[in-house]
Amino acid sequence: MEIKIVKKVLEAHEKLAEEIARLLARNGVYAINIIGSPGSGKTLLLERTFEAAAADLKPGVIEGDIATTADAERLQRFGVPVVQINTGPFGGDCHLAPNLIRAALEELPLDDLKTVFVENVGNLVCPAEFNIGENEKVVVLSLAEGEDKPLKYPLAFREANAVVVNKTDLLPHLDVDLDVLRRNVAAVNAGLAVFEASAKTCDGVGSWVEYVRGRLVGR
Amino acid sequence: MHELPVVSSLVTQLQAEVERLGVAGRVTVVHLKLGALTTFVAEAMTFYFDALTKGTALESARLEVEEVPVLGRCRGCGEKLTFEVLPFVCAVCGSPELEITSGRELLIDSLEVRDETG
Ligand SMILES: Nc1nc2c(ncn2[C@@H]2O[C@H](COP(=O)(O)OP(=O)(O)O)[C@@H](O)[C@H]2O)c(=O)[nH]1
Ligand SMILES: [Mg+2]
Ligand SMILES: [Zn+2]
Repeated sequence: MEIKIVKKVLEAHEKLAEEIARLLARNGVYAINIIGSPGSGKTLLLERTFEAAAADLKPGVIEGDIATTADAERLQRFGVPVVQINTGPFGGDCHLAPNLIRAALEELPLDDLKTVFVENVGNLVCPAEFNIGENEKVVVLSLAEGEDKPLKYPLAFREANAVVVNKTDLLPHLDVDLDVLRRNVAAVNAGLAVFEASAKTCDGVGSWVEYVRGRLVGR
Repeated sequence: MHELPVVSSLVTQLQAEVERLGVAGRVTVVHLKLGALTTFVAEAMTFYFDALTKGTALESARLEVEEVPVLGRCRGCGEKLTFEVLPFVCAVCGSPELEITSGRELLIDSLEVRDETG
């Protein structure tokens, strides 16, 4: 005998993500879920973003780097509230699940914030899979990872609204072909906003910051 | 490796489902639909499923994963599309403005259950 079920496995996740989205909307907070491999420059990009615009963006941060609190400390220098997430019973250490995000949001002064940046756990696979009630996902991809990454991890690039191609200062030292990378990004998601930047030299960081500012207009 | 928490969710959900349906211990096959765009690997899911159901009311059940293709519709010309390779552009008019309608599924589709007598 066959019994038809047709139920989503991640239904509980999705409900929680919707609840988080409502909580953020009620507080007028815009949440950006930052996804990228370990070392792609997520934290340094956030540091540069806050250097340039912490006063306007009024950011809070949820840090998903499980092992240490080093990233949280780097960001606290800007007077920004940072919550470091600990590994929960669900989700292990490969992505941030919505239950962890909801708990972290309770520790942030949402009334005083305009944005929340979530630095997801470093990897291009699982964080792409799980909505956490964010307004948008952004991929930070460093040039050193190679031009084929959009093709190998299409879901992350499909789910994102923007990609920051970071470490452009390294271009002279790498065999990476930036044109091929651009083409691969477009093949996976032609609608993606692409920012080429160096979080080290700050080159190109300005357009990224303007993009984020633009997200807050009229909110 | 990120299949583990997902399969763990699946097993918890299935346990509630078989209780509700009164078919605990009689499920032989669980049919799961998995979108081709998801990052979950079918073999890893069945591996964890067997491990997590050992000694439970789902011990005799096998997980069968059916892949759901990536389907979409072109916002430009309205063509219905199936994507097997990149790029994600309309095969007819070349437009990248697409609505992806399937490929992200992770669904419990159905259960096969042994008759009470058998
Ligand atoms: N050359 C160069 N190094 C960078 C750039 N952005 C980040 N890094 C370095 O890359 C390493 C990892 O950066 P981090 O922000 O911690 O990456 P995360 O793991 O993604 O948060 C650090 O040593 C950074 O100083 C960049 O644009 N250019
Ligand atoms: Mg970091
Ligand atoms: Zn078309």
